[in-house]
Amino acid sequence: MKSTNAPLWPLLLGISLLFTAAGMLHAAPSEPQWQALNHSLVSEHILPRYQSLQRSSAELATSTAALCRQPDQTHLERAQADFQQTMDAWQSVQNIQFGPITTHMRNFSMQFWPDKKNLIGKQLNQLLQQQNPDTLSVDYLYQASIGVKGLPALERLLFTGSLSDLENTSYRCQLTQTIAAYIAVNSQATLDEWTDGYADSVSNAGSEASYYDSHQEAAVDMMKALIEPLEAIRDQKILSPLGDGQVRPRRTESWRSQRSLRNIQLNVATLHHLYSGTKKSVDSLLRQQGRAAQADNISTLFNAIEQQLQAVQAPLITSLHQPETVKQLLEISAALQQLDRELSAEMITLNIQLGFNSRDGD
Amino acid sequence: MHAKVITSALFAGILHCSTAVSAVPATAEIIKTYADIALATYEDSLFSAQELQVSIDSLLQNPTPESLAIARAAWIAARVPYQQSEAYRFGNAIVDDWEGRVNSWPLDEGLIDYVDSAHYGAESDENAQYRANVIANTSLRVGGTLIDASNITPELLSDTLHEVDGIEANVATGYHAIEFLLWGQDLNGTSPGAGNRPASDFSLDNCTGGHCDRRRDYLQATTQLLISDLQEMVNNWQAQGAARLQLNAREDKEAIATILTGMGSLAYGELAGERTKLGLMLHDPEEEHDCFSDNTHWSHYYDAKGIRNVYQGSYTRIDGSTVSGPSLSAYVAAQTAAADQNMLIKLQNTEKAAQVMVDHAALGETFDVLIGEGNDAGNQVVQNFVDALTEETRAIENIIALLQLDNIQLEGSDSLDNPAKVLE
Repeated sequence: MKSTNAPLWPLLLGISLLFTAAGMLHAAPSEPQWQALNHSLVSEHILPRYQSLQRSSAELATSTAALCRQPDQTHLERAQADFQQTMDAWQSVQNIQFGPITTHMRNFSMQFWPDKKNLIGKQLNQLLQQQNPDTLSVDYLYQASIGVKGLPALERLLFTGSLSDLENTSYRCQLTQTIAAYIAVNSQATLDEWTDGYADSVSNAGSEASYYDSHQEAAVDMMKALIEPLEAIRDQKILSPLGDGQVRPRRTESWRSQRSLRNIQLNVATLHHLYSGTKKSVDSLLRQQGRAAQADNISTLFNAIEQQLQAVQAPLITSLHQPETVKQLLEISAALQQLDRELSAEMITLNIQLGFNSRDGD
Repeated sequence: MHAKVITSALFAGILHCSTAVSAVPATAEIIKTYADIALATYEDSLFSAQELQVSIDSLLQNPTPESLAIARAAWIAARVPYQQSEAYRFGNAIVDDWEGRVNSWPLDEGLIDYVDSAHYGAESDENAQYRANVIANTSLRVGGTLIDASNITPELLSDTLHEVDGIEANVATGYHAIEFLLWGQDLNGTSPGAGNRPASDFSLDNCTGGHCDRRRDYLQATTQLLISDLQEMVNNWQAQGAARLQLNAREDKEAIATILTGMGSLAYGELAGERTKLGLMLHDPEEEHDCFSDNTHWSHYYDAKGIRNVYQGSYTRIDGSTVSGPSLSAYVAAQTAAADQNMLIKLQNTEKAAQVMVDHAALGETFDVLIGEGNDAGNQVVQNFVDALTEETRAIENIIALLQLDNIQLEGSDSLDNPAKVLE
């Protein structure tokens, strides 16, 4: 793995050539098989999702600017709707934690969450109190805390407070517009870097110009994007709000815009697509390796979890107080754990070592 | 890749001479060294906590700026061995389950004592006890229950207040609770300066900050708890101690995987991530591990050193003597010399990067200053430490792969109970 100037966090850990040799004991897929899989995942899964994020965030930047010019109910609702679209797009590509989204910590800039110490609230309030005009530029936000420049900060600005807070030329409205512009710039840059180089780096793995020493090494990143989110969804988005005997609705993600459940639904649908929604897929690879029964189990679990999620009542910020919701979420959590186990077990078949992740030590 | 190979070759002769000729040490010997170092490290933690207690007794007997300074110095000294023990936390469930009582962080310190509203804020989405201030209040309401806090005792702190209301940030015990009582809040933001609590906050005759009698009770109770908790962990690592028996009961590969898991989980998720990178990205002075005392540079330095101790099978005690034995390094070297050399280089690089933070702190640029918004050079110093730890984690992963430990199942930890995810 060649080093880059970009921070690699939390992009995990290259796998060396030696390492590949160590795993030859398993009937591992061949380099051409990995190459074909990676190609499908980049062109059919990753790129379309970053395109969607780029489009929706550009619209959000436009509609927040329009809101500041004319702060009325219609413009506010338009900006809120565009926020929802952008969050839909982000939640549908949040699983990708390698490549350009990690450059300059864009992934954390896009969304710092969970915020256990209420730092977003604290830091945002500080900005709103100081009203320093120097902070109203995308350039300022580049070096600012991840607490004040992502979707959660924007959510607070758009979904709490009243229209009068956003009156023309108010600092609050201009900050809203600036954060939206920053998110759009980040999304555009992420897409551009994928299309202008990183996608090639994946397809040319093993060549001098690539970040990857082998197609298998690139596939490790893809498999992390499939498996690591399962634990994060379960622990952070489901179990943490369920609390320890007492529900904590405000620990749900995006509760202010009442979309906590939708986030989870989109996350699972995304992972399902990554698993089996592309021409060459992990599912088809497992079947080629003689693991059809296991692949069937995994597909069944994905379908079951999606159905279970459909039955949960939104928004969680209120429905979490119902015992029925708690029961449903606990069942979903158990199913996610089962899915995590089964997918992880298949990684041995495929000779993929996921390595340490950023949540170890929690 | 090519550059790395050349570097490895250059260092090979220097670093590898001590291990090149030896045969593979038996796993039992390596485990014995590992456990012996654990015992020595926890014993040193206990001794230095007892020293801390002596200095706190003096402070309470005669609260002056001088006696307070001595107590603070004793706290900083107590961190030296304790931080080196953290490489044992992950992988050994008996340590991880206990750790929260001793080194819980971050904390909402308003639970314990007075805080500055402008700096700290009035409330938290997450925590209803954000400003409960037990020192000033003889009772507190948690949900529908009224808790009697009229007597501040070790039992009240450990059994009732610690993590009260199911919130992890409600830290009532351990090093950081003591740190807060000795220093108070650091109100300097990302500018130089640590907490500045006056000694008179502990004075019965000339009390500042209110409720000095209860603050004294609190400090004594939480120090007493630290000592009994450390004593418990010392016992766990003695000859027939539970931690040692659990390790001995493991299969060879499982035991080796335990050591490497502890190293990698501390290096990456905890130290590089939670305790360092997060603060850097938030530019928030509260996001430093020893935020009241501004001792984070040393805490990080000794955390990293603990990983090195475990790998190289050698620990320098607080009295200067050494505990050492057949090492994991020798075990790795006998099987795959290049991976061992690579690991040794990465450990050195991390120590160098930590030393740079220590050097900056000595010149007034403590961790909270280094992570400040707009301090590009300082940010880079911290980033270099994160990068070094990330590289170190890669070296650990490489060893795990080469020793074919990647489908060993470890018992006793949720995230480890999963084949193929042994490292999580």
